[in-house]
Amino acid sequence: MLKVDGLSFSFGDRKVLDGISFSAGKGQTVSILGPNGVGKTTMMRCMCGILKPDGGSITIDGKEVSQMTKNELARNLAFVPQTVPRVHMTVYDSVLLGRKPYVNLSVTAKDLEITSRAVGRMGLGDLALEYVDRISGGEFQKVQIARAIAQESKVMMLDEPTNNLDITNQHRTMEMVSEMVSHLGVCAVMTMHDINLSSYYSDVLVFVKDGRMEACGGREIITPELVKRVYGMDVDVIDHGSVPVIVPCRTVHGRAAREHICDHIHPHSAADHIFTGRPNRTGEHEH
Amino acid sequence: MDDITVDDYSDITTGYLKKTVLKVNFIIAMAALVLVLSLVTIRLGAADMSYGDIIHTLIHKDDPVMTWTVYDWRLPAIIAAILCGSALGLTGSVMQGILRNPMASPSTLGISNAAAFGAGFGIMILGGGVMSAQTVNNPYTVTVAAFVFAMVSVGVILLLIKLTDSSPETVILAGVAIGAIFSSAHGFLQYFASEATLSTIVFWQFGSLSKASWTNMPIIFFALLMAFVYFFYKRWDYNAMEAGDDMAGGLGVNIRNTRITGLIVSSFVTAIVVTFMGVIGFVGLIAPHIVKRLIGSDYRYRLVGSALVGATVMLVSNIFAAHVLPAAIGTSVPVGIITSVIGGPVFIAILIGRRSRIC
Repeated sequence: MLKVDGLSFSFGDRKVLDGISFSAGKGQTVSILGPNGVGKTTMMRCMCGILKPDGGSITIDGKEVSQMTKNELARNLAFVPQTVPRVHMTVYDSVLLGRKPYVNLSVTAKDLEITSRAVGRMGLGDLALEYVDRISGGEFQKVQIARAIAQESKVMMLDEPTNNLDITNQHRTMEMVSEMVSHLGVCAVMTMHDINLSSYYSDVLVFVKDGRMEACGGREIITPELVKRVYGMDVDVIDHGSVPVIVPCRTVHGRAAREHICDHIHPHSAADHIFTGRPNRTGEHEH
Repeated sequence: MDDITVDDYSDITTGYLKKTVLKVNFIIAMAALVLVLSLVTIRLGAADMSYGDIIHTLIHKDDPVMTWTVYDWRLPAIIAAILCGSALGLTGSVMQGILRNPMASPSTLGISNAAAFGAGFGIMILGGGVMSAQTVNNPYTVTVAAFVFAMVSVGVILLLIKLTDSSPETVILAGVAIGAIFSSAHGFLQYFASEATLSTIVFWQFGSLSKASWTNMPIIFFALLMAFVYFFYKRWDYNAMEAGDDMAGGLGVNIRNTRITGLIVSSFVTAIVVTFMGVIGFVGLIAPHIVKRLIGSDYRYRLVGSALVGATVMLVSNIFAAHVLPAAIGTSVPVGIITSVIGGPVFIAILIGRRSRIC
């Protein structure tokens, strides 16, 4: 479905992305991971056509993104940016904005039906007429995802979707993305900071450092060596069922955090505190 | 993700459509208010006319004295108030959206300062003449000079955008810089002007509906019509841009082109209004804010709403400037002074209301 091959981008003389390649199929979730400032958001902007890459190709179902018109690209790829200003617009109108690539003169009954479905799917029915500058952070994130659903694209890009959310809302958001991917058969690409959250919910992990791809694959690629190489940090990788859990050994300042953790909680217990099981379709956790 | 039945999403759609009807009703009510204020303004004044006489004259034009009073004496100022208020409200609304700045208005880009300098230049250097009967001796020279300099300011801003980037911050900073340059140049002209020339320059600067005529109205009307059609065509793009450049880009908006074209069209319309009527402050700033508070940010309704509220603010200001104040102090004042007197406190009230809403 989505194929990125040798993607490169520079800001002036500074190379930000250099030869990034990965692919994602229908119903797959991809997480792009790496330290701050390695070009994750730039990669998203290139894929969405906001920035023009220097080289490489991005295709959706075999069609080059750069050959698509702006509206055609928006029908194929929905983007949920990291920060979205809260304007004085109702939840419904914000979600309806997802129909923009399809609207000619006026919204049709079909546009309203798709918007209402998206609002309802995200459990925003009661808030549909509330203004988005008066709802909570978690609800606002739901609005962004509902808008992306209303856009009816094949690929969905989410730039740090769990940014600024508490742990409950982080998991709720990721569960919504997972459900959306499985229900609608789309492919989701996310930039993430939390390796544990990413490995738990993603099918493909792409590690990036200094604009270059360090590793790409399933959650089995997560090793202490990889994390050390990408983030410069010593970690333990604990196997919790089939899901690897990262526990820091020391901070970047050299403080012995591992001992601190181990003094209080055994690593396996720590993992149990983080995840109690994979979410099922109803949002409850399987044990 | 919740499972949803047909009944559920039908209820959501029905609720939304009801809310939409409220927005449409607001627009209809504002249009009716503009009409009522227009009739009230025609009736006000020395000649005693009933509303029946006014409507009869507007339709039949059978009494020469009444026709002259309505059509040639009172109507041009009212039409000018509606057109200029609509133009300023409309352009203010678009500029606040594409620059994502609640303080953006037609005067943000320094166009008014540039036009004022152009008029001063026309009056003093190009021999536009001294003030006579509340106008200048050679209005064509002054008008053309004001328009040329207004467009020069737009050109410089576009050049700065091309040399740097098209971000809202760049556009606003460029506008502030251009405004400051033309403002100081205008001060320079005034410093060296004779007393008569100075009074002409100062009078021109005040936005006044007394400059309205059946000659300049069609120009303002067609500029407004062109801008409205273009802005309405782009309403979805402006909605997307309110949600940020990244979101707009993801929704298929060509951000740079939309921002620059919006600025050019807004600047052109503003330049025409300022050229013919002088500097009219605050209308372009407060009208979009009032509409945003009442019916939200959605440009599908906000554009028409801002134009109608802008027209209303101008008509009310005109009633104060041309009828209420003369009755109280014995002389009329330019409408631009009244819009600022009304606009300042209204804007502060909006800010306080906004703060209390956030808290």
